[in-house]
Amino acid sequence: MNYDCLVIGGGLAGLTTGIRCAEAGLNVAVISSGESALTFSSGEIDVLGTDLSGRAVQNPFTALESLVQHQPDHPYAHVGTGNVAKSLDWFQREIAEAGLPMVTSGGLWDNHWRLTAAGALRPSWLSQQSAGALPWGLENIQRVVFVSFTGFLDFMPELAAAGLKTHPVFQQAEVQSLNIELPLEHGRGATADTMRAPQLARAIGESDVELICTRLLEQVNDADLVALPACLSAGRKNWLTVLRRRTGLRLVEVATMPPSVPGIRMLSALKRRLTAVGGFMIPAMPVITGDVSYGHVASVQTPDDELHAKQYVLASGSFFSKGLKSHAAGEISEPVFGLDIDVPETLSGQSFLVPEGHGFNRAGVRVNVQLQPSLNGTVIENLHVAGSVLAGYDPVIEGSGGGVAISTGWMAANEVIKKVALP
Amino acid sequence: MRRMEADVVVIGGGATGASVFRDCSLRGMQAILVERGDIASGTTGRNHGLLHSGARYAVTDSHSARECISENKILKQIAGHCVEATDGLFISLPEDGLDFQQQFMQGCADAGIHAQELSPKQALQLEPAVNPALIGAVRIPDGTIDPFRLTSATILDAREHGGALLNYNRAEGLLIEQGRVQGVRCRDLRNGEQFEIRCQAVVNASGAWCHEIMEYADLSVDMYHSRGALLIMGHRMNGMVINRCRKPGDADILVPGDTVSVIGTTSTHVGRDELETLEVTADEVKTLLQEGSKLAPSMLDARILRAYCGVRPLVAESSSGGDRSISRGLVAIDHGEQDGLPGLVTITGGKLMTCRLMAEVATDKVARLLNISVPCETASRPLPGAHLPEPIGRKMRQGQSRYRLPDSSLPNSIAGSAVYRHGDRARSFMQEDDHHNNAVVCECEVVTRGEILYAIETLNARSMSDLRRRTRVGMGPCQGEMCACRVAGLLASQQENGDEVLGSLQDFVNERWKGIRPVLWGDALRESEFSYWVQESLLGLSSLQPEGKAEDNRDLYHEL
Ligand SMILES: Cc1cc2nc3c(=O)[nH]c(=O)nc-3n(C[C@H](O)[C@H](O)[C@H](O)COP(=O)(O)OP(=O)(O)OC[C@H]3O[C@@H](n4cnc5c(N)ncnc54)[C@H](O)[C@@H]3O)c2cc1C
Ligand SMILES: Cc1cc2nc3c(=O)[nH]c(=O)nc-3n(C[C@H](O)[C@H](O)[C@H](O)COP(=O)(O)OP(=O)(O)OC[C@H]3O[C@@H](n4cnc5c(N)ncnc54)[C@H](O)[C@@H]3O)c2cc1C
Repeated sequence: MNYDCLVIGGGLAGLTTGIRCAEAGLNVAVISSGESALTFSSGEIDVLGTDLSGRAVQNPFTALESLVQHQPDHPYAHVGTGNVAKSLDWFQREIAEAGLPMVTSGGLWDNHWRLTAAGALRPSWLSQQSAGALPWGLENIQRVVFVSFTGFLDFMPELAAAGLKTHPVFQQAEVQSLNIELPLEHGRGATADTMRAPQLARAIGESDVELICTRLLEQVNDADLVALPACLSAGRKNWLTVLRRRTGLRLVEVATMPPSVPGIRMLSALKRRLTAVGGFMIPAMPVITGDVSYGHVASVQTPDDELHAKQYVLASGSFFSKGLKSHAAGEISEPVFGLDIDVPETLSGQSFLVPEGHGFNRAGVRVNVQLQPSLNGTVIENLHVAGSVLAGYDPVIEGSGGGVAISTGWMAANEVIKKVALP
Repeated sequence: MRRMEADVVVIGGGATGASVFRDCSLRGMQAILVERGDIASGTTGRNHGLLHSGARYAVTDSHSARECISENKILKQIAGHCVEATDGLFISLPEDGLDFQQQFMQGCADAGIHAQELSPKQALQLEPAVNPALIGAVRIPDGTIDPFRLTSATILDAREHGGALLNYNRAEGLLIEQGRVQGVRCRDLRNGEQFEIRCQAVVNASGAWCHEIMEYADLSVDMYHSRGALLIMGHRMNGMVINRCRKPGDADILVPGDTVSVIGTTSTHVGRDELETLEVTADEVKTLLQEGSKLAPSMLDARILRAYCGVRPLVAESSSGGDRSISRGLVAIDHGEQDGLPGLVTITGGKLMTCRLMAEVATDKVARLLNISVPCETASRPLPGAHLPEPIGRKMRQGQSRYRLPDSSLPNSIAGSAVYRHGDRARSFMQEDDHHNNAVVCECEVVTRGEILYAIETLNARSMSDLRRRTRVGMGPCQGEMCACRVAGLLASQQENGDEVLGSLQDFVNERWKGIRPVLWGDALRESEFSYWVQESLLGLSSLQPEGKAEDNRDLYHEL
C-alpha cells in the first residue's frame, strides 16, 4: 500500500491532520501505538489561557499576537495567528459534524472558565455542552453546590468546594457539597466505590436519575450552579439533559480524575469523523524507525511491516506518549527518526507547582516555518511535525495544548495537501 | 498563657523520642511528646531501613555489632509487622578479594552473629539479583525495618497508656528555675500560640537538632552531622539485603522494602546550617548507581523512583579520623550529672534499630530522677499490631504477599497489604463486607479508604504527608499522581479547615517532586509529565490560594 499521507500518532494533532487530508481526497492513514492524551484530558480545547505575565486572558486570539511577537519559535508563530483562528473554526465544524457540538461562551472569540475537580477555575476556549462553560464574569453566581455519588473516589465534592472557596470571587459565596447514594441500576451489584468515571456512566439508570432529581430539588433547589462529576451525559441516555430539564437547575459536568468521559468522547468523535471522510485508522501499532536519506523519508517500519507514503506527518506526542524520550544525563531524543531536538537549558524547576513551569514541557522537535524537521541539520522535505512532540511552547502553563495540537495538525495537513497536489 | 502539666516532656518525635515516650508511659509516667513536624519527619523518615544484624560493624566496631544483634532479635519479637526477616548477604567481588571475609567471619563469631559461608552458586540461588561475578558470600540475619510504621506503632502504644502527642508543636525554650529544668516553652505551629508545659524531667530526643535544645540551657555538644544520600528503585529487585564484604564504604548496601529497593548510602560531613536544605546532587546519584550496580547489575536498567537524603545525628568523640570511624553508638547524657543542671536528659547518636535500647537507657535516667522503680519491659512487650498468629517471613519479590488477615475472605492483595502495614490492628479498619471502606484509594500501594480514615482518626494524621507516612499512600511508582487528589478529598470530608487540606495537598505534590528531580529521566520524567498535566491542567492546583499555610514547611524537603 502506498499512501498519499501517513500520520504517525492518533492523538488530537494526528487525527486533525488525518481528517483534513481525507476531506481533501487524499489517501491517508493514521497509525497509532497507544492511548492518546485525550483519554485523560478535560475534553475541552484551550487556545491560550494565560499571557506572558501569567495573567488569565479573556480573548486568546488577541493575546496570541503578542505571544508570537515575543516567541518567534512558538508553534503558533509558525502557523500564523490568522491561521490559528481559521483552523479552530474548521475544527469546531468538524467535531459538530461528528455529532459532538462544542461551544464557546458568550463571545465567539472569548475564553470561559472551566471548573476543575479541585475547585479551580482554568481559562479555556471551546467546551462540550455538558460542561456548560462558565462565562468570564462570575459575579452573579452566589450559591454553588458540588454534588457527587457516595463512594466515588474520582470526584470529591468536599475538596472541590474547599478549592472554589479560595477563589477571590467566591470568598463571600456559599459553596457546599453533597453526596447522593445511588442504587446504580445497571451496576450489577457493584457500588461506585470501585468504579472509574466511564464505568459509573454506564451503571447509572432511570431510577438513579429519579433519585438524583428528587435530592437536587429537595436540597439544592436555590443553587445558582450545581457541579457534578462528568459521567451523566455519556450513559445509556444523556441523563444530564434529562436532569437539566426536570430540575431547571444550572447543572454542569466537571472532568473527573482520569480516565475522563468527555476526553474519551472527543477522541471517539474524531476517530468516527476520520473514517466517515474516508481516512484509515491503524490502531495499536507502533512505528519503530523511519528510513531517511538525503532529506527524504523513504519508508517507515512497524514490527511486522514496512509502510510507504508520499508524505509523512509525525504527531507522536510528548514524553508521556513516547513521542519523546529522555535519557540519563539530560539527553532527549525523538525515537522514530532521531530528529534534531530543542532542549531548554534547565529541564525542571525547584518546586513542582511553579508559575514559570518546567523546561521539559518546552523540549521537543525543532521545525521550520513549514513545520518541517531536520535530521543532523538537513531538512526533511516530506515530513511535517504537529502537536505536543513540537518544541518551543509550554502547553500547561500557557493553556495552549488543544489549540497547538489542532492548529499545527491542520497546517501540516495543508502543507501535505499542497505537495500531493503537485505533479 | 496556656499551661499544661506532665511528669515528663519528650522533645522530638523520631524513633528515639517515640520510644522514650512509650517507655515512660509504660512505666506509669504521664508523658507528653512534642514534635515540631510530623512523627518520623526527621532523620527517622530518611534512612535506609536496614535492620542491622551487626555484621556491618563486626570488624570495625564490635560494641555496636553486639548492640545491633541483640536489638535485631528483640525487634523481630516485639515489632513483627514493622520488620521483615529477609536475611542478608555479604558478597565479595573479585576486586575485594577474600581476605576481608576471614576477618568478617571472625568478627561475627565474636559478636554472636550467626554467619554462614556460601558458595557463589548458593548465593545466586538464594538471591538471583546478586552480581554473578561474586567470588564468595556470607549469609547473616539482616532484615528490613519500616521507620514510619515502627514510630507510629510505638506512639500508638504510648497514647494507649496515657501519653499525649503534640505534633506540629515546637519546643522553643526550657523553663529553668532554682537550678533545675522544670518545663518546656512551646509553640503550636498551626496557630502560632505559645504555651508552657511544666514537668519534672525533659528528654531531649531531637536527633540532629539536639544541640539546639541544649543551647536553650547554654549547654553544648560537639555534633558530627553526617549526611547520606540514597536512591529508591521502582520495584523490589532483591528479596534479601545485599552488602559488600569489605570495610564500610559508599553505596554498598541494597535494602529491599515493601514494593521497592533502596541503594545507599553516601557519607559527607555537613554544617549545622545545612540541616534543612537537603538536595541530592548529580554526583551523589552517579556514585550510588555506579557502586550500587556492582551489588546488583540489573539496577542500571531499573527505573529510579526518587532520591533522598538524611543527616545522621552522630556525636564527635574526637576530631580526628573520617566520619565512618565515629562510633554509631548511642549517647545518653544526664545533664544533672554532667553539667549540674538536673531535670534534663539528652539521648542521641545510635541508630533507628537501636531506638528501643536508647529509650531504655534514657528512661532509666528519668526514672531515677522521678524516683520511679517500675522496670523497663519494652524488650518483651509487643507493639500494637504485633500480635500476629504466625511469625511473618519474607515478602515475595514479585510482590505477592504472604501476609494474611486471619479468617478473611477479602482478596489478599488488599488484606495482605493492610496486615503488612498495621499487623493485627488491620482489623480496626477492615471488615469483611464493607465495600465502602475496603475500596482502594492508592493502587500502587493498595491503600484503602478505611486505612486512610483510620490513620486520620487513630494515628493523628492531619496532612497529606502525615497520611503518606502512616499508610505509604503516594509512595509507589506513580508517586501520588492519581491518588493525591482522592486522598485530599477524603481528608477534606473529615476536616473542617479546607484551606489546610489544600495547602497540604500542594505541599505533598511539591515534596514528591523534590525527590524525583535528581533522577528526572526515562520513566521518571514520563510520569512527571503526566502528573504535571493532571495536577496543573486537569485540576489547576497552583491556582488555588488557601489561606494560612502552615508556617513549618519542612515537608518540602524530600523523604523516603
Ligand atoms: C491529563 C491531561 C489533561 C489535559 N487537559 C487539557 C485541556 O483541558 N485542554 C487542552 O486544550 N488540552 C489538554 N490536554 C492536552 C491535550 O490533550 C494535548 O495537548 C493534545 O492532546 C496533544 O495531542 P497530540 O496529538 O500532540 O499527542 P497525544 O495525544 O499524546 O498523541 C500521540 C499519539 O501518538 C502515539 N504514538 C507515539 N509514538 C508513536 C509511534 N512511534 N508509532 C505510532 N504511534 C505513536 C501515541 O500512542 C499517542 O496515541 C491535556 C492532557 C492531559 C494528559
Ligand atoms: C542516610 C542514613 C541512613 C541510615 N540508615 C540506617 C539504617 O539502615 N538502619 C538504622 O538502624 N539506622 C540508620 N540510620 C540512622 C537512623 O536513621 C537515625 O539514627 C535515627 O533515625 C535517629 O532518630 P532520632 O529519633 O534520634 O532523630 P530524628 O528522627 O531526627 O528525630 C528528631 C526529631 O526532633 C524534632 N525536633 C527537632 N527540634 C525540635 C524542637 N525544637 N521541637 C520539637 N521537635 C524538634 C525533629 O523534627 C525530628 O523529628 C541512618 C541515617 C541516615 C542519615
